[in-house]
Amino acid sequence: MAGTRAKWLGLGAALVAMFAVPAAAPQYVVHIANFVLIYTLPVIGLGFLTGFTGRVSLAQGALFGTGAYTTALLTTKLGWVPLATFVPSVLFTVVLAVALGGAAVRLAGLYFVMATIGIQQIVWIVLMNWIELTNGPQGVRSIPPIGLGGYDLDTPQRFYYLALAMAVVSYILAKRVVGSRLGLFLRALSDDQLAASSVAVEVGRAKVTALALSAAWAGAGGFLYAHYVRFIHPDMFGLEPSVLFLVMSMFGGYRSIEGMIVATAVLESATEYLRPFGEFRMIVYGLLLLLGMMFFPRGILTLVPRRSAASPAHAKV
Amino acid sequence: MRLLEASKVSLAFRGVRALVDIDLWIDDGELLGIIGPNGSGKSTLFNVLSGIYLADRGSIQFNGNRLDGLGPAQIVRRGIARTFQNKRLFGTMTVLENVTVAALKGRGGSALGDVFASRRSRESTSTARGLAERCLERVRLADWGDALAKDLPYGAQNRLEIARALALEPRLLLLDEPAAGLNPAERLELQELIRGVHQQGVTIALVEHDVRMVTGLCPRVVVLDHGEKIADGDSASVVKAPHVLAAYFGGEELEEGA
Repeated sequence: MAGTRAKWLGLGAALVAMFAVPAAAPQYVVHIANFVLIYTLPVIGLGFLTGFTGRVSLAQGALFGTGAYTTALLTTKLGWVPLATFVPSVLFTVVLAVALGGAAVRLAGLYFVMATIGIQQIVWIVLMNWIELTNGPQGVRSIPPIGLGGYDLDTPQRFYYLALAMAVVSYILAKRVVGSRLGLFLRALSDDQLAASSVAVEVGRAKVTALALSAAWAGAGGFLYAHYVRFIHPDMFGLEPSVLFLVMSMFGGYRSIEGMIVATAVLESATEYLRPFGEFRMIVYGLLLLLGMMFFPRGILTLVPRRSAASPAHAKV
Repeated sequence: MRLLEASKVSLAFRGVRALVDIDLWIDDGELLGIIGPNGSGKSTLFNVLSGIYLADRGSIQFNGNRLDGLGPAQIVRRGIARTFQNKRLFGTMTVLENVTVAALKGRGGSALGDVFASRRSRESTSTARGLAERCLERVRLADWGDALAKDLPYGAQNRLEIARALALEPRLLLLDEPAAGLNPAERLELQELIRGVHQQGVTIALVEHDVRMVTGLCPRVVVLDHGEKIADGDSASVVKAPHVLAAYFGGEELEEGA
């Protein structure tokens, strides 16, 4: 299996390269790399819903924000140690997502999209207006950095390895989820819901589980984000990041976790490498998206030739 | 022994009567044919039996338990599997995956177990995979396991539907026009497949247009017309009954019509 071996070599090389980034690259590159790593979490999470379940959500930014606010408030208001808030942040995001979206995720495609826009708005409005709890438009400042073994991860370089570790773990876990029977069930129901239920797939439960997983990944990403930027504001979690996460999760490759990661890197760093275009930067960015979707509707990773699925051309029908 | 017993099952769509007081029983081990003109309610009946439609009235007993009110996923767990007339495969999945989804029914382990590769999960997935492979062999699709379902030729998609239903290891198998669109050779092969599955102890109800195929396979035939059961009995005599001929072919001889 030369293909698998090349794949592992590529993966290993990528890991080594990623490991060397903080030492070799200038600070602002590390800074951007951190955002890429953080964003891969909500993007991969959204992939469970969009790619595998065929449900498009525009609430991922709100769930990302839920994770960020949970840890921010627990650390600043109650004085928790940052690491101790990880599990509560993830859990609370999951509970909120299932409570608000558990019924909606059973709806047909377009209705679910509209429901998620509603969820996005609800969360933003609560963050903005429940001032006693969230500080409202003041945002939450002075969020403490994550401390690891006596070290405060308060610089991009120090933060990088944690972000990398989280991204790698979330990638591996996501691959396992996709390869599990849940992944099989989700693909089946996104192809044909009726046929899926006719082969004993509990369609409703599978969809809610996909929603819960996407929220878990978003909550974990929000946790990282809050302790990296150290100041959060409701506007950071409006519709804009939701759209961005959606684009990232679809731009990379249809049902490809690797594709989602590549797309996150390409799009998140675009503002940097498009700098030569000056004020036309965002126009070029938009064009890039447009052309990408036109020519690679199944994602930019289709540029990379895939190992052709065992062609049965020789087989006798 | 009665495996399935439906009594007075009725269903209307916005006032249009699709099924009218249908009484239907299927004995354990039977191979029952269900025929009738287009729109006579055959597929609707299957949709009710498999939980896709909820009957307005009537009750359905299967293997001693009431089925009415249960959804498709619950009914298939109780042992009724079906195929669809208009092939409903998982197009973006491979042929083997299509069948494996079904073969996972009622197996131990969980998605979480799969993620962390628990022993229970690994065992149940490999059992399911083995079953799926056997079902594919059964319908001569073993060489196509890695192909995408949507890339299969029509006849092979047909067989994949059957393999997927077999992987559910049903007590009762509902086949909804499995021969539609097949050429004569494929029909013959399908006929043998159905006979083989039946001989292995699976009770079968076969909805089919091809009357000759039904009379060839099924000792007993039920005839539907306009949502009503108009005949039920020994296939050779049922298809000769004047009122059946009138309903089915406007009076022509059945043999010629088929």
